[in-house]
Amino acid sequence: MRRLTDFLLPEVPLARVACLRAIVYAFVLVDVWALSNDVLRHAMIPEFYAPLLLPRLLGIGPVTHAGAVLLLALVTASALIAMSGRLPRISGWVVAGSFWCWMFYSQGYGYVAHDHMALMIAVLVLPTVGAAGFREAETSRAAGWALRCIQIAVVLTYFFSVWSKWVRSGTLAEWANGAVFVWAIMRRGTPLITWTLSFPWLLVIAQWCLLIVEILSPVALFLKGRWLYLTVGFFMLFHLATFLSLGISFLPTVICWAAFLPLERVLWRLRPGLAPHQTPVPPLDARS
Amino acid sequence: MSSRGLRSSTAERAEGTCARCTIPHMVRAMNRLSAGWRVGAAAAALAVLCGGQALDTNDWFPLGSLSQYSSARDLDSTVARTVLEMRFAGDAEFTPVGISHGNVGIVPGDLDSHLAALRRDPSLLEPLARNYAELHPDAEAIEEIRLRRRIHQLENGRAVGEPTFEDVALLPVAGAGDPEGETAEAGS
Repeated sequence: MRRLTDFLLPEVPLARVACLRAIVYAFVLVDVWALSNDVLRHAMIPEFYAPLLLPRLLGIGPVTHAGAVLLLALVTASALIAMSGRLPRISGWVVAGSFWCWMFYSQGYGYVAHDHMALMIAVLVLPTVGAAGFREAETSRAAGWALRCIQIAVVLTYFFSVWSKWVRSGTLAEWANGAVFVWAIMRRGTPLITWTLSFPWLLVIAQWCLLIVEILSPVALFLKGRWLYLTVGFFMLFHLATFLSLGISFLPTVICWAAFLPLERVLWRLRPGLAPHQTPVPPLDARS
Repeated sequence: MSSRGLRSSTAERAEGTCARCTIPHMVRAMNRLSAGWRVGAAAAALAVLCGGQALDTNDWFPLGSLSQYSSARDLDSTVARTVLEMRFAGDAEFTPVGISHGNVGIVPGDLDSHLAALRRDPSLLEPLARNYAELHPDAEAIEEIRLRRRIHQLENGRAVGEPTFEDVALLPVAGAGDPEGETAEAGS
């Protein structure tokens, strides 16, 4: 039991949560204004509204233009306040509620994307930490739980997609030996990747590699120091490659990889004035 | 549940240091109730997520199936892409129109999820024509709108031959070339 609580409730500096909040809430703004900004357009197609389970249970009807504008204003205002660190619980909960509602409208018109799970978990758990400042080296298990939840959501985005492949394809070999990448590249491949269509065997190898990476992704939860940074870097490169080749950024998940990093040490190195009083900043490869 | 920082009372603080760093810092304690609901909430969310995978449902978003590119594709199967076309006033041929929010208010992924409904009820194309007209006020009037699937045959993972087309839905646009009808409808 103690191992479980130590894993789920690690001691983490509050400054790390402050840094992650700034990143997550800033990204929420980018998301609603630039990435998941389809809600305003969805007001034009109420005929295609296909509400998901939670909106159905809550009785949320199709979005209207006025509703979308109001919701956008609410997400924006609350995220800006949350970014500033003021009223961290209240502003955080308002971000969580309004952003979840926004995503229900974004995903409630047919296609459901799978890149938002970690981000939606992040906005839900970050307010539970309460006050956290950039200078606070004080550690907290509440902070550790929030970060751990985000970390688990990140790795399960990959790991459970293996489960889904197994459920949908019968066997993992059936998926890896098939033409999924051919299908994806023919539908949305960029000129950087379409040349591979002449080499289907190469794409089969790539599918096996992806499968292995996804199966091994939970290892990231147990890595420290440079091995962890290498792993995070690897996933960043992987998503850069999928963006350049298929236009799939997976940015909401990419952002949440920040929950694995000692963000406060980076901040204190870049802005020594924000570091706790007269204390040396530990090296980045020190255990977090 | 007696490890450092986890206490049975609230608001305790203890002094400690990071495992390998030298910053002395305070540890904000957590009582058992706080720890308990957090562990319980994490376990509940994990259980829902597992259910979402087992039942292969997107309905439980954001804890539904993580099924991005999960369906196996046979190396000798087909690859289909949805194509939207419109025939404008004065034109004999259909013109392809990009399926995007900026054009018709919907993207291919959303539209593909409604193909079965569109086959049953082509009138679902009407909002796309309406949105196109609203978003492109200078365009010619739309007389017909149709949805097709462009299908490529694969052989051992390579596309072979010319694509074929399969009609999904065709809809004559009501009121096209009939300003009086449009006016009457607008006034109703």
